[in-house]
Amino acid sequence: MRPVQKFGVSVSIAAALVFLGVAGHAYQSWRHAEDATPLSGYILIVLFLLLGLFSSRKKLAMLPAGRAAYWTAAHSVGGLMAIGLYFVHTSGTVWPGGSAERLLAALFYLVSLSGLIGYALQRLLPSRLTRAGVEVIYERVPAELADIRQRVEALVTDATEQHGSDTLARHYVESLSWFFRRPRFFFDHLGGGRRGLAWVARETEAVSRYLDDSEKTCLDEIAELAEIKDRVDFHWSLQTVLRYWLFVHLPLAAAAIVLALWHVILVHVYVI
Amino acid sequence: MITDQDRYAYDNSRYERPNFPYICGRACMWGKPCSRGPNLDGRCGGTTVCTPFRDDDRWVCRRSPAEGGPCEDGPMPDGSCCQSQPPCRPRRSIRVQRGRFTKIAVALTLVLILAFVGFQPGGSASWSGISSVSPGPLSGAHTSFALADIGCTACHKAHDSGLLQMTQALFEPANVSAGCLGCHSFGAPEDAQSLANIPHNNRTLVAAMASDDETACLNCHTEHKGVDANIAAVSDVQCNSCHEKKFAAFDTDHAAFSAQYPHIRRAGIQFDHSNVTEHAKLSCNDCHQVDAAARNVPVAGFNESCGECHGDLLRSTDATAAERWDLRLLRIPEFDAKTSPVLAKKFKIKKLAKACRLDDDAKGQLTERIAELREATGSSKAKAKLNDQDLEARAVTAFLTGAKANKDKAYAKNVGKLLVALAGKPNKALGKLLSKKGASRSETATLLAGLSPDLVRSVACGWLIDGGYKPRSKTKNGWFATADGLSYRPTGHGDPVLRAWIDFAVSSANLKGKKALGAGAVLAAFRPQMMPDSVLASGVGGCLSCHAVSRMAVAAKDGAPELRLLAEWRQEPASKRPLVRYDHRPHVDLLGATPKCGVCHERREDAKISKMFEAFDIDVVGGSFAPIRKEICAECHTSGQVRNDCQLCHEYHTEPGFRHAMMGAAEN
Repeated sequence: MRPVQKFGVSVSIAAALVFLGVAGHAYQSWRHAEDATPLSGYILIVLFLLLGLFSSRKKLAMLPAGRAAYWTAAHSVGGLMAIGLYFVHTSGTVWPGGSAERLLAALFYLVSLSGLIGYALQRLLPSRLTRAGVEVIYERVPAELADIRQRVEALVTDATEQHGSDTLARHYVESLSWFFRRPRFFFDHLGGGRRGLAWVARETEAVSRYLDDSEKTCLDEIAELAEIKDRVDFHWSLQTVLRYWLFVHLPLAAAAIVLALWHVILVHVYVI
Repeated sequence: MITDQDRYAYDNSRYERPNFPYICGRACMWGKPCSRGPNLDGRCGGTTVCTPFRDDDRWVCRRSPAEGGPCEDGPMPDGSCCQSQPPCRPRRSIRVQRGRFTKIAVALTLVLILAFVGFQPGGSASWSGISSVSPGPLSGAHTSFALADIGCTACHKAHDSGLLQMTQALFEPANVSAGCLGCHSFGAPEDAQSLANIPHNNRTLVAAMASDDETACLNCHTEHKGVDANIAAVSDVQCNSCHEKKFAAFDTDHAAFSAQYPHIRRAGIQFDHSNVTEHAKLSCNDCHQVDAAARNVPVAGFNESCGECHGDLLRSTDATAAERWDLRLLRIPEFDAKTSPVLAKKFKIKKLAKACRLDDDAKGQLTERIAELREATGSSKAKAKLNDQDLEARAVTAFLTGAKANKDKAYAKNVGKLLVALAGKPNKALGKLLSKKGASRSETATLLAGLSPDLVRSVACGWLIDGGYKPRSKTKNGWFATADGLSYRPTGHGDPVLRAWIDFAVSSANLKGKKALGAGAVLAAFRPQMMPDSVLASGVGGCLSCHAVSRMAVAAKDGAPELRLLAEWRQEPASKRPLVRYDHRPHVDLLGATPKCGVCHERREDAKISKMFEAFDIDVVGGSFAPIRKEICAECHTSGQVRNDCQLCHEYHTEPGFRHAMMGAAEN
């Protein structure tokens, strides 16, 4: 078992113990007509803030705060525990009555849902990316695509100059350039399809009969580059999802924390 | 290209910082990004390939190795790069965009909170529910009270109290339970600070509380769960957590009911339900109002229930029968040779003549009469001995004047003085006597209600002048005078004057010290005088044949409970179990329009009801019905049939009720 996995198991056990302790305390308090909501509420708000620290840790990468993998594991376990504690705190109430509490509940559910989806994405997509055969950093995708496009266009220019035929050049301008201009087949890549390669094969085959052997050699090289570009597109699609789900999770989580703090203030002023 | 393993070696590519806030605009357009990238302020940094360096007096190209190293043309004479290109429009990185989204979300949340904090949750407007302070709609019972005029402050004192006070409230206990006690009351002693009126906080009641924390109202009654929410639900698990006796099911685990259940005291009205009396011929419906059934099935009033048979008790046209009910307030004795001269000495003719408003002739008669009295001769021993009837007739007068009824001389002396006083200001004189015996001003007013001063004066003056009052009309109900005194004949059942006199008689037994002189016997004497025992077959007779006189704990002036004798004018429920609740209605509905009360209430043939009422002790139980056994209830209330949880029959609070102030608010 890898250290990160060991850490994850340890954190899970600790979280389970804390959850069971709080849930047990809530049950005992309920039996004895005592109020357990303050305890579960305080633990929940502290947990919210700790979970929020995960985002800050990324910004403070220079600090020796442990590996991101540990943080991710702790964040995931903490998030799951927060879902359980939420229902302990609300005594199983799914949809509260107050407007602010309803908004808080809605935000919490959305944050939890997006967190669960994000966790699943982070478990599933990286292994698919590894199997793609190439590795590319997300921010370098535009440069890689520009590089591939540059090479393809150089090949087309050379073939035109050498053979005096513009068949390949015209076909590139009218058809293949669309493919090389930017990442394509976003959703197909997410679903694991191969429509990109099929499209390239169809387009190259369509022009192949009009080319002589040397031009066909050039076309084969273009097809190879298209295949590499398709893999980069695959990376682009999956990495885009891996980055953009946080556009839902993070703002909602921040809003939920603000509302949770407001809830704490209200409870202290009005009830406790 | 990507397939080149060495493409990102340090000398082949620029160092890319992942936390740069901007990315190249050309890369965003899927073009080749420039090697220099955007500046930190968001401007394009790639309008030139390099920034030449001045080395001594020459400009040196500083194009990076990744771009091919120094160019052949080198810098321009002015030190600018010779390879320039149009600027791009850098865009913010994903991280920065995400951060901005997050900030917008936080700001939006704060704006929403602040924008809607001003909406009063309790307002009548439909949008009041969107207040960021509103925790949700109240339960139906609380909606109209808490949201009427005072709004949220009914429970939450800090609400709308200003920023400073609300900030203080953040660190101070809100004590919402105290707000609950503003409207709700309980039978137990009240102490808002310690919430001692909640019985389950009472350590003597619940010795095995799980913690020392007090149980606040909110621990069980969580509000703002919606109009239809049941905020009083308690689970059996909660009951079992403290109670030593654990209940899995009523039929198998509940303890047997007490031997006399549900009776814990004698009834306030003596009524024999057993088969040995004529009452057995009646149906339960004849007296009990089944339509108004709740915890108890109330008894209709005297006229509706008892009146059919006993209605003429107090309305007898037979003078002899009616006389039995007469209250003899004043009984003038026959003055003899011993007492008359003594009395007559103190009679001031002038004063009496003025008090009796006598003319000259009458004044002459008075003078003669007093002279006769002063010269009275003869032996008192010749007088017949007083019988019980005489003593009973004298009882009230003797008690009020402080004389003993069987001591002729003392009685006559005191009555003589009273007659003089009555001739002057009769009601004042009577009021003074009653006051000495503990009657309050309002009680005195009731006791003497309808008593004309002229009638009293006529009796006194009649005796003084003529040796006895001569009634001018036939005796009617109310106050009337006779030759030897003053009496009251009740107008019917529930006569307030008679009731007041019985209360006065009963309370006289509670007197202490000098006031109590004769009080020990007065009740016994009052009873036969006011309530002759011949009216009903047994018991103390009259009103008290049905209405019990009971020794009960009442609050004294200092607040401490004190045992006092009281006449019971109402049918008090035989069972006052504050933690037990019961409703006859579903049972009556189940058993049909003609209720089969006998299913649960079994008649007891050996009941001796009158025995129970001979003394004043209310703890004597054993009425006309056999005690109700648990098994009777368990026939239906058992697992799988009818509900049988703890809360069906048991209250958590002692005698929950409402305060008068709250009831007034409700009426408004």
